[in-house]
Amino acid sequence: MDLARNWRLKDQRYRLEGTICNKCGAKFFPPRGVCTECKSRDLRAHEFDGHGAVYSFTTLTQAPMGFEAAVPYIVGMIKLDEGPMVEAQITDVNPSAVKIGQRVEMVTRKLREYGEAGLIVYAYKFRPIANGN
Amino acid sequence: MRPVYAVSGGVSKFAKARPDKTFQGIVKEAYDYAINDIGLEFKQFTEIVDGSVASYFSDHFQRQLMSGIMAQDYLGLCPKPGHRVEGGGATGGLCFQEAWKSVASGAMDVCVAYGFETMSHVETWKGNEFIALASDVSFDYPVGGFYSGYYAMMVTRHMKEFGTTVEQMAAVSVKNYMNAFSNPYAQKHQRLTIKDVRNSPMVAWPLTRLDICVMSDGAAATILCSEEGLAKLEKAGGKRLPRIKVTGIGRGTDAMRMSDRPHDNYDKFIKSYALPHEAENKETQAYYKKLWAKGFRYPGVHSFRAGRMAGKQAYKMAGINDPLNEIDFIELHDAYTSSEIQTYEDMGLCRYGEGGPFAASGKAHMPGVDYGVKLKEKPICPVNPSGGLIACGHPVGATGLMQAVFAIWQLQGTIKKHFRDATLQIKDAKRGAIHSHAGTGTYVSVSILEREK
Repeated sequence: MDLARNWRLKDQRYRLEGTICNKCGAKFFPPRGVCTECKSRDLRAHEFDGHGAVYSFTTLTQAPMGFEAAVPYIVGMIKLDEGPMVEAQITDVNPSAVKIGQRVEMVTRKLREYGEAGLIVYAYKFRPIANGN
Repeated sequence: MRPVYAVSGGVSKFAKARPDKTFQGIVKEAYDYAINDIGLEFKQFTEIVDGSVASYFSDHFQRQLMSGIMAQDYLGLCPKPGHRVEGGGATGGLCFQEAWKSVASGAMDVCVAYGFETMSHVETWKGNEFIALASDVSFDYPVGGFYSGYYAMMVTRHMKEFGTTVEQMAAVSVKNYMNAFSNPYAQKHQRLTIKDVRNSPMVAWPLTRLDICVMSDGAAATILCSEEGLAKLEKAGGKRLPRIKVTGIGRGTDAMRMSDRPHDNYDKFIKSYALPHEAENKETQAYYKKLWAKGFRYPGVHSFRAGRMAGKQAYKMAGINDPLNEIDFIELHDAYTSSEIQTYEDMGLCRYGEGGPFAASGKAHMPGVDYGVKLKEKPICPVNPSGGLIACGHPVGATGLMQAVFAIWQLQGTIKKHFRDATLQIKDAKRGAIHSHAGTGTYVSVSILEREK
């Protein structure tokens, strides 16, 4: 089940692909089949540019299964410049240096491994942009 | 719709683990207690009761599908009607309202709502994983998120918007633990200080272990009935029963992903979400205009519009205009200290943004209990007089029904009888509210109970 689920999500995980409404231009991540703004069902795929700002965050010191080795790690809500919000890990930064409003960009990183012979899942994380406020 | 009375209830002892009994056995403890309390024999009640609603969150903990029917059978309720209700953490509150519907609609005269969860059957990490499956498993859980992390992000934002402090959060834990000290049903009996809460191990900054409720095994049951049902129960038991009426019910929902929550403007807030006493008050309007001018948007992740919708509907039905002064106590879903603070605001006990100072003010504390902290204000509307989820425990499917049982006892004035201690009895309590909450604020229910004159 996990294999299929991860494969199904590859466009979102690797390329931050959502949808854009052909009628009103509203953008969605994850992709939606109906526009929540104008209720149109005419949408096409849209690749987000991966730039945004930290809306909120936390540092996890106790982790769910599969993430134990990563603690402490930062999970944030990233408000993309193009509209939608996405939950993701914030990487390449000391937890004490993360701030709400900080500029970030998407990078592709290893998320977790499912044991010795299992899947290795890659996905988006976000890192601070140098000199970004 | 016809009047519905919440006539009796029972709660099993909430514990980290109940290795002594199956889930059916724990449900029966609560069920038997509720029957005994109205002076009936098991056989007499079985003849009168029309049906049931079962409440449990997970199939995973028991590793058993269709647990509800096994409880139904164990209680001797087959072949009477029954069904299961599930809505995450709000399962118990929704179950209570489904039983209310069964009676209000005329379908049943006497309906029993029972609920349980046996979370000790798996390791805590496994339990956390099961609970995390109640978040988006494609986009939120796989990035290393789990519930404490989600709530931490909400309160981080609450702190940013309003200046809420970790000490104000800790004040909620100190209050609820101190209340639970006199509640024999509670899982935790500990006196805490603000320092204790802050010094306990950090789980997800700023939430420490003592900001978070614990996993439990437990069950609860309530009996709801119509006037006709009440007459049948009174005739069989040969005594008059206290009239505790359900006068309001409300529900709300929101998107699974916190990231999908709206960020609405002032006009939309006033039109769709403000409570009547907020929308009519000039000073409150000015207060909110100022918030929006600073960049505040509603509900974001600092507020639960599902909770606000549930409260708004229930208040309207019960005719409540000023919740703080017109409700005598509230049992609310404090899975986290921070979510109790968020919920004060959703339920209109204070304005959005004032939850932090409200928590530490004393307005939501119990009279006559020594919390070991200085409180500026006198109690107005005690919140979680039982100790809430934080200290009583949170056996998910039982939790919302536990709140109903404690509320029934408060309104009956029978806390001393059931707790063998009168400390937590709110004097002359006439009206109480119960609030049940799922996920990151996905399903929320509010019910109002009142003692009939």
